[in-house]
Amino acid sequence: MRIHRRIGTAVLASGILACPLSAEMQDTGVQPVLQVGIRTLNADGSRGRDAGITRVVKPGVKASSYLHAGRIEDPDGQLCSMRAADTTGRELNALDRRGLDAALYVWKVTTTSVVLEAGRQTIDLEWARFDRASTTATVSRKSRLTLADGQTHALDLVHGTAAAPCLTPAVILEVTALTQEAPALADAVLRYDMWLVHHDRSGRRETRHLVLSGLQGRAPAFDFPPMFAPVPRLQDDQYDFRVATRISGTVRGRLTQDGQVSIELETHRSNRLERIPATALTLPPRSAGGRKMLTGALGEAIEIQLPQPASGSSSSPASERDLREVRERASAVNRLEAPPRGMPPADEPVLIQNGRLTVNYAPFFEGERLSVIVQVEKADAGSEQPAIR
Amino acid sequence: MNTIHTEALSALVDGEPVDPALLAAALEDPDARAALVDFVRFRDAARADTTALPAGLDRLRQRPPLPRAFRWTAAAAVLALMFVAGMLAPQPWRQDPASSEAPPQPTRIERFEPGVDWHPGD
Repeated sequence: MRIHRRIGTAVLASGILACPLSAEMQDTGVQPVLQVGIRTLNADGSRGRDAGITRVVKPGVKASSYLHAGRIEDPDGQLCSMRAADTTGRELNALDRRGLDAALYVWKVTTTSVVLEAGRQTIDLEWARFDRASTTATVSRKSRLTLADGQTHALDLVHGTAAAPCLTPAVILEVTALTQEAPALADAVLRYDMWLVHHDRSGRRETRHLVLSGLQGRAPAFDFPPMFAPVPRLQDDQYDFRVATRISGTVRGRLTQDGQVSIELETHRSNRLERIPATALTLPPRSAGGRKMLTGALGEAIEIQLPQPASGSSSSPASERDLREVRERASAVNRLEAPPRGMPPADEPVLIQNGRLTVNYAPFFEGERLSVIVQVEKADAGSEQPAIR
Repeated sequence: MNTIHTEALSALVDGEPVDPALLAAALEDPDARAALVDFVRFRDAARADTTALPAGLDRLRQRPPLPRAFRWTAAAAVLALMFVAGMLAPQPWRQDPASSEAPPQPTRIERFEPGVDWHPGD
């Protein structure tokens, strides 16, 4: 018995040592939270009911939850009742057992935290579903997941009957990563001044400015007005084109125990070839994105440079005449008469080939610089409304 | 004669605001045009009358001189009002970080690294 206890302590200690909280989490005092739950998908668009277990995650510690939906004695397929029970550190009580024994579907979900950092959790997940009180799992899975803060991952879905009185045709099992803020800092409101700064090849600067605010730990979204780059005219009857670059994302700040601020910046860049004036036909954007963790002083302006596109292109019929030819060619392709078109060379910024204008983004944006500058300050509690300047 | 037209032209001669559409209609009216000529003649005649008023009546035009102390107080009040208005008025030339479009000078520069923390989205 004593040996078992020592082994258990050693295993637990090794788990904690192997999975320390990240520096950001220690600095900000936040705690990772994992929610395991089931929720109904209603047929009429209304918000469904849910049941789940939400727990602060400890590094290396295994936790189990039972969730059940529907009752065996109800008409076939009704999913009107649901309940969740946490069995971590205890046995199921009588109420839990009665519910599980009578349930139409029972899920057992076991999670073990592997890596915990601000904004990300990696967990080992093991789950099984038992139908109609069977002791044999109908379906079971093991997986390792990495979830961003606020991200939900669906694990399983069961269908009921559409005629059920509770309008619940389906129940979905899912896990969600959340974060519990440090109580002393949870009500702090942060103000984010964000600039998008573009320098072209000649050094000319163009800027956009947004002001956001929100409770610390929230992630207000930003979406800068687009920046436009003209596309040169290569033939007389060419349409007017431009490339629109849009920068969007979220910014999440947290005050640290020593008065600094931890910043999580999620940014997306998309480039889209557009006709002027805009037409109903819009070309899909070429996009890329990333996430960066920063720590700085309150009021400190930090510039984050965005990479220029390394590849990618967009193309469109170059003119009205070319558009007609493209349509004729498309109808010829449908009749299997036209040969396939070759790929245009990728080293020219803009070219016209086979009646199509192509913008290759790597050479098109070469020599240009695009940055986001972020500056975080504490704000008054009454100024949580985001604003755009 | 359309009195609305003549009133509009009278207002025009007196330098008052007039509805342009009404003015256009009035100028189309021959009677109103004749009235306009009369208004101008009357005004010229009034301007030409430079006869001095009798001395007793002429004194009525002059305001009594204000006491010197009152004048200084009024001047000080005007200056104070101008100062307060200047404080409250927007000052776009001042570098207020909250409202400036120009970005601040960054203290450091970070970079998204392609393949490390920056990935293609499509």
